[in-house]
Amino acid sequence: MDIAGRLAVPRRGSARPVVSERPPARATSDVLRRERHQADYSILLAVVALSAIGILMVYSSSAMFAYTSRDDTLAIVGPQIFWGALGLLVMVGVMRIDYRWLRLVSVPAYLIAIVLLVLVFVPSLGRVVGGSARWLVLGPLPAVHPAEVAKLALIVYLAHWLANKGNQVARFKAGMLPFLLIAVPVIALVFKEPDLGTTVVITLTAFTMFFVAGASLLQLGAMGGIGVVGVLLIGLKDYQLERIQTFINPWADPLGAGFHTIQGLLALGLGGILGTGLGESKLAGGLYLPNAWNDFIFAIIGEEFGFIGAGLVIVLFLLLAYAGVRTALRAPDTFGALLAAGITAWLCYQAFINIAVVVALLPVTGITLPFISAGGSSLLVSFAAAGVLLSISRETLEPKGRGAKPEARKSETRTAELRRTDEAADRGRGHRGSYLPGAGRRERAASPTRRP
Amino acid sequence: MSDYLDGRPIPAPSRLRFLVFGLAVVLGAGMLSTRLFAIQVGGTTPYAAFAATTRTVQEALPSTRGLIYDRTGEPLVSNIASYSVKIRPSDLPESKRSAVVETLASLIGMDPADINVAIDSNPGSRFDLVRVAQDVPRDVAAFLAESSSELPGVEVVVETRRNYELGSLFAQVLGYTGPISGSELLDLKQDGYLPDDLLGRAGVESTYEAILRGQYGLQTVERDAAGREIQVVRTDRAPVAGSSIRLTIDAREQALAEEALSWGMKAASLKQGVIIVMNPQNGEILAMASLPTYDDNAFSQGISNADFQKLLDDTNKPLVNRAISEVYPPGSTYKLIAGTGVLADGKITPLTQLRTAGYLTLGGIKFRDWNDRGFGMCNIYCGFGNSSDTFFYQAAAMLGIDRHGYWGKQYGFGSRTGIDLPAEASGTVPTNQWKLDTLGLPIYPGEVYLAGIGQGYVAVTPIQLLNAYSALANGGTLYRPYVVGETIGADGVVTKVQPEVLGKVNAPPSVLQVMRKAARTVVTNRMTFNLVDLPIVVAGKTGTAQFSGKAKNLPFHQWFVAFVPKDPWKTASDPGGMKAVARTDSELAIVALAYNSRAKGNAATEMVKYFLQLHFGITKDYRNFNLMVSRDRRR
Repeated sequence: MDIAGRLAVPRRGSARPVVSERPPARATSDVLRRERHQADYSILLAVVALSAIGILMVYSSSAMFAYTSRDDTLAIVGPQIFWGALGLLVMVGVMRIDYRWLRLVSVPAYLIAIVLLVLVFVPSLGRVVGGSARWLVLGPLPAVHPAEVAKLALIVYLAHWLANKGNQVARFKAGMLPFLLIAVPVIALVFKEPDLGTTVVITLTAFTMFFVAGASLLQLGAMGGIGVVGVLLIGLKDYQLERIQTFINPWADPLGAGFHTIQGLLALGLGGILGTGLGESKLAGGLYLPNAWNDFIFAIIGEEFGFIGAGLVIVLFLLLAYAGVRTALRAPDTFGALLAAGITAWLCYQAFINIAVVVALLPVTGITLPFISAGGSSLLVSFAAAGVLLSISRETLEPKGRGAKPEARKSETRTAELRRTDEAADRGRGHRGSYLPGAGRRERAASPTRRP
Repeated sequence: MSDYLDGRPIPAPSRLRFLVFGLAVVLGAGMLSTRLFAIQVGGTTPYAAFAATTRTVQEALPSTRGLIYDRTGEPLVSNIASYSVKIRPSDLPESKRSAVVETLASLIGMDPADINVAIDSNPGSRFDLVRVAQDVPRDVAAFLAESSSELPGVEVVVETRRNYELGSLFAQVLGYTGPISGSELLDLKQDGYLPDDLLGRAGVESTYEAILRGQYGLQTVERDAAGREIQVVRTDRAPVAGSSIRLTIDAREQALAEEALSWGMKAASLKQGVIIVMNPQNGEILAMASLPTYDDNAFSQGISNADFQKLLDDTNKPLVNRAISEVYPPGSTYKLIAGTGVLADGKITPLTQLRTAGYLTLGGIKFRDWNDRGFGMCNIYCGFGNSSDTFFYQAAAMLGIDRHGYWGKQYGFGSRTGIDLPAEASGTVPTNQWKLDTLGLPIYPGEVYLAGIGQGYVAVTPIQLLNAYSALANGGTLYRPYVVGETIGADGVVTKVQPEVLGKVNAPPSVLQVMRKAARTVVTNRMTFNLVDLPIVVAGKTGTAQFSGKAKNLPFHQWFVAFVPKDPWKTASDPGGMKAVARTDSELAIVALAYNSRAKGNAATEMVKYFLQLHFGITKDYRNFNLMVSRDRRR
């Protein structure tokens, strides 16, 4: 049973004029053909540019350390290049697959993610790094970071579930309660690792998806309040509290807890507008920034390329966000819209929280800068997510009149093609009109074919 | 399944909500950019200003530490160039630390634990160099300097280190220099001390630290924001080399004292001993030997923690200068106090006789004399000269504890002499008030007896005892003992240290003269065996101090404190030496302590005798080896 066969099956219980009018003799390949166009290459541009900057900066910031500690300047950037290349392949592969397939794997993926998060706490499998059990070692495979996988799995499942729920998400028993039952296990397990940064990213992403899917604002507000109180009651680990205190006054312990923050700020300050130049930062004088190629890589970017370089990174993420939201708004179905919004939210939140830590707007949390920081799991999963976003962007609908290409607007063949394909059915236009955010659908919602 | 793959009739999420989300992201990016701008460009945070400026900072320019000479000008300390290995912790990655430390340790032959301790107890910041080894051989230093890439953070620096020419002979007097500690750095930072500085740790090196160190200079250095040195702008203040010091101790005399002490300790199987020689006319210390001791070069070369711990754990305390830092019961030598007191207070005259016996009974307790037959009717010469305990029980009882304490303090007991060496102990002179303050009880009559013979609560340092008999010898002037005779500035200006009078013993000269003659009687009565046979006149007092408690068969501390008149050779006109000791011109006083001695005779007397033989070049050997051997409870 291939995808063509499934798509050809009429929807149960539906006797829609559009379907019935379909020419029965139509070739399978015709039915299969979706309305696809070029992916949104601004997403591709942002992702590729960010990962290129990432590899450059990881090399610049780690070469000296790698040389002194492992006699090999490529020791840290080498794997990063490998994972980056693999990630690109994965992204291109995922881009070419219909994202709707994700709905099939969403439930198992979610369950697997939960299992992996639990396995982290199994002593023989988990690897504790810096007081935090974040890594999972399964046999000979390279250590993975289950929280990275869990982020994507939760986003896919939430998009799937919220899309199914439709209007009901605004209700409490049918919306809020099950939403929490889905999201809280993941959040709690990641919090338990403990990985405060990732917890915050996942929570914000999940609630953003819930919000755009149409959650009740009243319930969201109440949840927010309860959440804040809950965190305060459960309490944070001592080192997390210490980080918050450090954030309030990093100079209280400049060589201990405040060391990261201060060194990061000094690195940024040293960069100025134009920066010190590539490779000029590492071990400059007495300046030494731990985690330079990881959580604090943004500080090195700011030091070596100045405000211009650091600003460019923010602009690239903004471009990603713009393209992501545009994709969501024009997505051909609710699942795609929510998925695009979720992925965009995740990548942007994580990036902004990472940057906010470096510029001392947030306490030190220890999360990576997507596409830039060194780290295989993070890079691979980020690329996969970007692939999904690209896949959705291939099927977006141009808003009528504005963004549509002139030739498409004028073309008669496009209308003919619409008739020939399953496009209408895929988007649910045959039922109660437009259910999707998109400029082109309002009108069709009032189409006479839908009237009883 | 197919439900998922085509569009299901689902309600449309609000377009507005997506835009709200988009707007939130834009706002977030805006906030970050604003903050970034403020940090990097705007100058509204300290960081941009910090980055923009090169800073000119003042740095210390180390000065040359002053040298130390003995009385005759023989150098005791020199500064020699040596290679030190230092580590800058910020350049040593934590992940590589153990490997680097391991390699470094094997190269320079150190215990890796010592290197780790040095790094962890670094008084400065991570960016300051930490000294891990001193006096590294030249070839090792060259090898280390070349393999900096394998040993990140390790640097080889040429430093001067102190070389103590005579090593352990002067260790107790000179002390040594060692690395500054974190707490000291806090106190001394404003005086220009650097995190990897050395400073005097014991002896003269410590008490004369400020003089020997000189003054570090200052230079203004321009640095970029990352701390890299760009250029030296100017020298603000040239360093002033430290002054040199000339001791009052003659290395030859010191060697004689140590020879006499080590001979006596060996002959009598002693574990610890002290000999101090001083000039009663001004308080100059002429020799000061305290055994066992240590080699101060081990410290200036960077002692390993294991070796240092071994010195600390040694029950014989080689690091302690017993001459000034430890207190002991003075025993019979303290009879000087009661003797001077009863005479000066007019309780007895030099001719008054007291009945001495085998014991005195007080409150049902027998207070025994060392001679269980007593000495019959005895005046001060008889009492002091035979060291009669019962005589001085009565003398002390006549004075009462407070008056007895008064005379003790007159002779300088109970307070530090103020010698220019660190860690001096003050000792104890028991009085009613003292016992009330410390034990909350009044003095019992029996304790007055005990104080009279230098037992009980009385505790003195050897230097106090010597100083007291020096005051007796010079006619009653208590000088501050000192070991540094003059300082020689870097400009060649010599500043002599002037003798300092601590006080006068408030007794008539005639009383002191009686006590000097009584001290001579100690020798002529052969309390000191054949010391009297020496061709020189010696006066002094023996002491055999018990530990508190009545346990039998315990060893004693044996004392002998003596002084020699200026012209000591016996003359026909003064065969007994009484005229010689009547004078107040003595320029040589000496104290010896035999700690925990089981010698048959008084080991301290034999040591003093041997020292005097060596000092005066008496070729005939009067030493009595039999007295040093077994055990006799003679007092």
